[in-house]
Amino acid sequence: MARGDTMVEHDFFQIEKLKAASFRAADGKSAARSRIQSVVSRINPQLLRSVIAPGATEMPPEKAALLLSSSSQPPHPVTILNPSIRSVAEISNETAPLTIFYNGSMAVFDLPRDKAETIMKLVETANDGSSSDQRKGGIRLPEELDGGKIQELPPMARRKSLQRFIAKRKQRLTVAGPYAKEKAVPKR
Amino acid sequence: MSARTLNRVMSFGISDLALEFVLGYVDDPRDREAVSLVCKKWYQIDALSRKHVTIAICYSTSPGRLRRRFPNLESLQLKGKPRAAMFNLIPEDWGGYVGPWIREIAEAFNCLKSLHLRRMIVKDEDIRVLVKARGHMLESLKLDKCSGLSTDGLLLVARSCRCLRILSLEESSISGNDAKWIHELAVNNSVLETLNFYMTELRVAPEDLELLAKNCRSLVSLKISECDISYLISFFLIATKLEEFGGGSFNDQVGDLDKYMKIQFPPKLCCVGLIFMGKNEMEILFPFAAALKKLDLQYTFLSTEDHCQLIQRCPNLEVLEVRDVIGDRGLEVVAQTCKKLRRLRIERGDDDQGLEDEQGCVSQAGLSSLAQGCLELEYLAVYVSDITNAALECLGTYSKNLCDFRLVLLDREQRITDLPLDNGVRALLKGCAKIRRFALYLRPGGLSDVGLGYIGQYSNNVRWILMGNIGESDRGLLRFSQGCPRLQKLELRSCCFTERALAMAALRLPSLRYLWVQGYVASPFGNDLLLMARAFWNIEFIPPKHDVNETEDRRGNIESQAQILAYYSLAGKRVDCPDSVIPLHPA
Repeated sequence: MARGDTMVEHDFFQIEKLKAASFRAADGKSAARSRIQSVVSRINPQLLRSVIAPGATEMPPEKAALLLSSSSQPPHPVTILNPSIRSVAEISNETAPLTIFYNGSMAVFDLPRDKAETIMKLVETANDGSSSDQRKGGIRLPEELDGGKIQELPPMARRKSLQRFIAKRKQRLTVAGPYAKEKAVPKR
Repeated sequence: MSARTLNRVMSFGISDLALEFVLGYVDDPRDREAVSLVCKKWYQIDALSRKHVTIAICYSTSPGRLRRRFPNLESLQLKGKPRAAMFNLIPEDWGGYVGPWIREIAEAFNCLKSLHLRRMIVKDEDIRVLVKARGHMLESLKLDKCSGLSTDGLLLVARSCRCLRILSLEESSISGNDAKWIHELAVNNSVLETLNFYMTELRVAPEDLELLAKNCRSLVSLKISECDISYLISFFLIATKLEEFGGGSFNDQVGDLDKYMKIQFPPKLCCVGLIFMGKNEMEILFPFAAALKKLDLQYTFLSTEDHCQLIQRCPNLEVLEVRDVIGDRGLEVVAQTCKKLRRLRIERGDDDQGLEDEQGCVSQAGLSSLAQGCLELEYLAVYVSDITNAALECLGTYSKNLCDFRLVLLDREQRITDLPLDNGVRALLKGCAKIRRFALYLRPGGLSDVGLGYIGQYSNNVRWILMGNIGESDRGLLRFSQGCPRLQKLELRSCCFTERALAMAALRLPSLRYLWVQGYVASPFGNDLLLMARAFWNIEFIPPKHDVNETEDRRGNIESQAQILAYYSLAGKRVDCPDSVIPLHPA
């Protein structure tokens, strides 16, 4: 918390968008801003699992938060990325928590900085004329992210009884073995 | 015409007494409902003679209303938490407290012999009140996926309910490490036929089971928690009438295997489900595999090949429950061998493929074989890794007896052979006209808006539908809601519909009395939800929570989505909502 937390905010009330629209002609910097002013459709925290390194450790010198929200006009809920705050980002390989709020849910990921950048780029590009993708209900990932299984959606819930069985089985496999202790026998 | 003559005309000239006798033979709840709508006289006779009532959601009515209408009830089933609670999606304190019902039962229901509570919160104090008033006449008590009680409550039941024939605690969360209640049951009861504490963590002592078998000579069904099977050798020798056994455990799978081979099962045993059974141990079933009618392999360690080896010896199987490790190959064996199969459940195995058999995937090939081989199938629930329209069409062609169909498409494979499933779903629903319960859980692109419209169009008989990741837009949902004339209960998960569309669909579906949704496009302030506000329609909103323990995901990602629950109620708004549940009222 001590070393300069960086907050990146999406302006879901479109205040920045309105401001930027009026300054678009005049201001060169805002051209960058307007490029980033993109609408995010169904980007869902689950979508990003494929980019998240499984071994990412938690070491937050900086924090980045994307606030995404959906409006009542599907499929174009609006988010704005305000680049000015983002400029503080340091080049470092340390991971930081990335918090994503979407459609009433929140997900936290620990990411190295370059992956966080990729995700933010993904947010920008996701809606460049990709209405056909939205019809399919998904976002086409850029090539480099399209590795392994894509889980775009909330995890499929599992029945409690099976969940317990699978957990117990894992336990038995780690505990069992030829030299494992004999289990206690109930008194007869 | 005088009132008396009119009455007789309405009753086809039958006297009231005769009518009561006749209606005594009418048991089906739908028939009873029809009877009660004919006229006041028939309503009264039905009300006084109704033996059983199932209340699908306990907040839809009140204990007092139940008593005023059906004072002579002999059997009651109450359901509390939404179905999603079985998947850890509902807060534990959501509700479903049985207390008010128990108090009414204790005071007024003088004929009640059978009580079945499902997904409710039952406290020891509730049990105390129940057994004090009704213990002497209770014949059947089922606490099914309930929570809130301890072994102290079970002790009360064991001591007070000497007429109990059925005691079931399956999958309930019961605290306490005490096994005394089984001993008390064995000592106090001699008529017990069914004892079930499968999928609980209750401790059990083998000698108490032996005592139970000695004293309860009518014991036909026993399902227990984990207890090594080799300690039950004596029990199996004593319980000679046993037809069903579930639970147990195999704790020593590397040491001496002979001890399991020494087990002699009772001669009439035909329903079996053994936990942690592995390849080496499954041979103990071979001597009587041909007699098996029900087999539960969901909690075993068998591979695809093991399933094939075992099932090929079971030509009389009627009910089979497995994980998808059975694979297409196993389903091929089922199709060839189990011609009498009525119910098949194929559950989802471990996602970590290192632990499950590599062949352990079910796809269109297995389903097609199954459809053609098992023509008696009435219930099919299956998690598939791949699917085609042709497989669904095959089911529509051959599975004419299907009443309950549930298909979940796993997210293991990136590419699915044949999506969307519009035509297959249409063929399935058209071909299987008896379907009353239908579930389809896919992925984006799995079913288009047109396909969703087909479901509406061809679901004439369907009462319950669960859908996940289907449709493309609100248009699909609205098309769907133009059909489904008999749909009473709708569950939607992870869909792309807006609150507005959900509200409109709820208003449009003519028979809808229960709606549950998780994962939808919310309006900024949730006010679109109130579009479906109307009299007697309770709406509950469960906002997203941030509790690591409550989610299945263990990778440290905290995640949970808002839920909407809405249902018809004659009892008014709930008064026992926890903080995590927000009842919505129109302004």
